[in-house]
Amino acid sequence: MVYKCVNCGGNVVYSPERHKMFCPFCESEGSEEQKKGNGEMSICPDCGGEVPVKEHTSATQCPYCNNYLILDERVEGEYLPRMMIPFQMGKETCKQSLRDKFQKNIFAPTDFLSEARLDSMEGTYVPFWFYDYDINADYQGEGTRVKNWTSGNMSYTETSYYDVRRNVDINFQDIPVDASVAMPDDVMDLMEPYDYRQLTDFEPKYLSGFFAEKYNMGGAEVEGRARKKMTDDTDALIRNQTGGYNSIRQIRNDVSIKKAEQKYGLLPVWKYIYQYKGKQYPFYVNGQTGKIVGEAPLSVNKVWAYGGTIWACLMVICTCIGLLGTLPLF
Amino acid sequence: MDKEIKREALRQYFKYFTGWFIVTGIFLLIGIGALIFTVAVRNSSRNNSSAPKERVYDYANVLTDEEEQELSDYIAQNQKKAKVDIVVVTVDQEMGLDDPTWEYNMMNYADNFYDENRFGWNCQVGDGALLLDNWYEDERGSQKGCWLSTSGKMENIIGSYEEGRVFDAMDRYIDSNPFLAYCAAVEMLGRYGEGGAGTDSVELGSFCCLFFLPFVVALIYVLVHLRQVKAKDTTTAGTYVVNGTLALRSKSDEFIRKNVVSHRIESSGGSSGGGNHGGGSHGHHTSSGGHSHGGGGRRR
Repeated sequence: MVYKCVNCGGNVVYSPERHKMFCPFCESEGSEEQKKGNGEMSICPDCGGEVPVKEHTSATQCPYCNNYLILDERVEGEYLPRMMIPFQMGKETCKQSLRDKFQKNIFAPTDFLSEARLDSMEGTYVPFWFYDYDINADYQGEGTRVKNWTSGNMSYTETSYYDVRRNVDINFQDIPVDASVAMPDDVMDLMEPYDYRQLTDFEPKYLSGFFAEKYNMGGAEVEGRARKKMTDDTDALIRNQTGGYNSIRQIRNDVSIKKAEQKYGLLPVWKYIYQYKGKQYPFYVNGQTGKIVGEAPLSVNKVWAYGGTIWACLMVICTCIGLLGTLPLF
Repeated sequence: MDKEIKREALRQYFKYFTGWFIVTGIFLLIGIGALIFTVAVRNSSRNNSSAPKERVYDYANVLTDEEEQELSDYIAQNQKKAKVDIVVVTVDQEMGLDDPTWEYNMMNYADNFYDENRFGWNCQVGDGALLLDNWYEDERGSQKGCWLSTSGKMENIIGSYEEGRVFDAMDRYIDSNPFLAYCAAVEMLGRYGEGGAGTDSVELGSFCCLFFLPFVVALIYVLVHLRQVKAKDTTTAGTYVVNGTLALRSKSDEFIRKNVVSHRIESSGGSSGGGNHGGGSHGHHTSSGGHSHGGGGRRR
């Protein structure tokens, strides 16, 4: 499927800034109409060119006509996302965020933040599984309270032991776990949190102008990560309920899941891959909040040049100050 | 493409260091000016006509007339070389038996002699050194010893180390042949005035200043700019919890037992003694004439 402009026939894309479908050619808003393909996924419905489609791709760009294509079969049926957050940050805003963050990295290669390089940035909808858990946690621990005092030349330490028990109900909602093999798990965890107030029902038009994947792994496959997040959060929440002790030792924490549910959805991520001296430096930007994950590469030549210049300038300044000190006037 | 990147890299480099280059350029100009001025001054002839021509004052009569003349000639040679005034004064008068009184009187005598005669190569009370040698001795004991009063650039050059070396050079001959002792002192003072031997500490200081200090600053600069702020986990335990909190169904905190441990407080014995240690007599001070002098002395 491809979205065409009824006015000029150009490819209509979703504009994060306008929150509307927008034709970049005639600048009309809301002028889109769907143009379906002939059923063959790898053929561009507009130009008929052969589009290289990877195993999990659900939205891509035609290399011949540059139109953004949405692969119907991969956003329908079992692959139909239940919800999504559309991109809130456009490419230009995202570029500016990267410039703002890395501008002070003077040792980064010269073209790292160049327009040409940043233009290669791609917006991608990453598949996520969202887990809801309605749980009960039964906690038991041993807490200690310590009191110190002195009397005469004697010092006393009194340690009191308590049996600490808490029984709590916790309702977790939408714990996200990415279902993309290509996206590193630790990076996707750092992308969080997304603002769920902007969650909306899935509509294919939001994919126009971006890349997307269907889930690579089923909900059961990645649930382990969600459960770990849930138990870690449960432990932390219960710890908040056991204040007032100098130390507390957990004896048990039985977590029983009363109700569990999983949903499939898409979240927006901007991806910028910078290639430098044969190595890839990936940068990920949360397409909703603008949070950036990634480390700037280092140009060794720049380190030597900048460090050496500072050194040389200071040597000259110190030498001149030294010469001034030897003047007969001083 | 590569050429464009290189050009852009150069543009960024010069933009970044514009301020640095301007400041360094200003210092460089000042430094070159200072260098030219220093060289011009070094090559200039003596610029103080107020002081007497005599450089040897043998009030203690320890030198013969020939020796006095020879010493004066030798001083003249060294003065010309080092561009500093060098004066030798011998006295035979009471300066005090105990060390502080002796040092005080010797210092005042030497400083005042220098100031009142307006010695100094470049100006009145300018660059120079005066060696005062006292030969007084009576039944109560000896008050023999030397004092070196320095002024102008010699005040900065002659530290306690250099002063010690001058006195060491004299010690070999002073009792047997005072003339040779004064010649040795004059030679050492001439060398120091010229900025020659015996300035190890100065060289080390200069090296630290010129090489090491800028290196450390540059290293800190590099390390500071190498540091990158990594993305942090900004979720909390309550991020995915409905209403951000849990529902507490039951809570109990039951006391089980307690134990008490006691121990005796050890009083910390011993005390640290303290006191002032007397240092050498070398130091900077202001003479009664209001001029700055350095110097120190050694008793025999």
